[in-house]
Amino acid sequence: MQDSTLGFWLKQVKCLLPFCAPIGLVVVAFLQLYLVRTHSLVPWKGGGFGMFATVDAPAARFLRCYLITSAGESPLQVPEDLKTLAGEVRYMPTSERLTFLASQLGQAAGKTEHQGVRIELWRYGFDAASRQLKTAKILEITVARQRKGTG
Amino acid sequence: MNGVLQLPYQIRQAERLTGFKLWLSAWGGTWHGFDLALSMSLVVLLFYTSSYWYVRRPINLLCIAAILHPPLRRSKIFWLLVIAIVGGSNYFNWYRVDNHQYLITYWCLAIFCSLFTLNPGRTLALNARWLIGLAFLFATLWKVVFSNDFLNGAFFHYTLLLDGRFEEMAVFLGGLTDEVFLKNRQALGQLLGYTSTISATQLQDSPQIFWLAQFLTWWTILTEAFIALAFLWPEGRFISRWRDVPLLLFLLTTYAITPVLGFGCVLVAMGVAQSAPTHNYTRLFYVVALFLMQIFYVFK
Repeated sequence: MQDSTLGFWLKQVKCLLPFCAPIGLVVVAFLQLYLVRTHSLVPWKGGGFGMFATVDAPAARFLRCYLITSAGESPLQVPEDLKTLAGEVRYMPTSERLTFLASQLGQAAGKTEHQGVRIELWRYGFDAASRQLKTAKILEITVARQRKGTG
Repeated sequence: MNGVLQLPYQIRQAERLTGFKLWLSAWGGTWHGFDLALSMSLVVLLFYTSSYWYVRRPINLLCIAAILHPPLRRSKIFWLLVIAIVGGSNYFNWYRVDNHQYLITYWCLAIFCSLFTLNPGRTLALNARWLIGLAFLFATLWKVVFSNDFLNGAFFHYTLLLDGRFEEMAVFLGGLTDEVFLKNRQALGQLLGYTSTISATQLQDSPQIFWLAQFLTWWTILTEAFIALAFLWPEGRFISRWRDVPLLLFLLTTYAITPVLGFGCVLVAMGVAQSAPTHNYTRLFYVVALFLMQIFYVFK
């Protein structure tokens, strides 16, 4: 009985073999579409074949980071060792990734007196009528500095 | 009378032409579709898999082994290992890797699955047609349905003004000067600078750029939609019989401009696998396309 059940399933799997790759492509493409709509995944990535279809490429997304001090906010450049993380934030921005990047930037700021770090993720689009690149904010997050002993 | 009588030089010319055709056929005839597709897949894997060391090193070793010992190309374990490495890398870097890395993984999966069937060549041909058709179907859907800046020409307009890969085209056909291109790059730099507070920046163009962008937009949509339709249409019927023509046209026109060779090469491997053996020259044309893409890349 068990052998015949196993045989049945093996036969089913064998029947499906020629369709595995095309089915995989369709499933991933729909998943990518869902993630673009719900999680701001960049349309050029994720296996949905959205490359060369929109200005919203990874290069069209950029970060503006600020160190919050008692004197106000000062722009902060992403250091070389955090560039990979900053890139990941641009591909698919989530609050967690942005928070993590902000905390890393805060640590990189080191002994500079500051209250926290604010990060804005922007993207630009192209207005063909006016020939202008116009920006729009995707996400913003502020992370307060964690002081030793305060938990 | 005139139709029958031929001058000696005309006869020689006809003989040369026939000889050339026979030579071409002989070339095409010596290539077995399935084996040629496997060889081309090795080329794709060797040169165009992702650049992570944990992919490159083992894939290079496997490919060298398969080149030196051809029976490996038909080994299920060989392709299982390739899928594990390439697919594993895609899984862990899924939002970073380019779309052709996904296509390469699907293609390796198709080869692996085809080896379990009674007629691997036929199964692989079927997979190749579907993968090409579906990839172009989604590419077309993105451009026509999901994108809000492609159909109106804004994407190509922007690309011609700023993308270095399109600079030569923008200069020669769009009448854009190098100075204007440079100013546009500077304007973009001002927008993206970490100290920047501006929310918009002005780009410069030329009157021809708009029309060039419109042409590229519609050319892309029409060729990609036609490829999707031709490859997903039932085999041997209506436009399916002419499917290789738009794909070859796409390969030669697109990759002359954009050097995304990985995508082009995997399309060539799939094109070879699905080309009907009755069309003597088709495989040869795909091979020529592969060489031309490499030559285009040298001059980019």
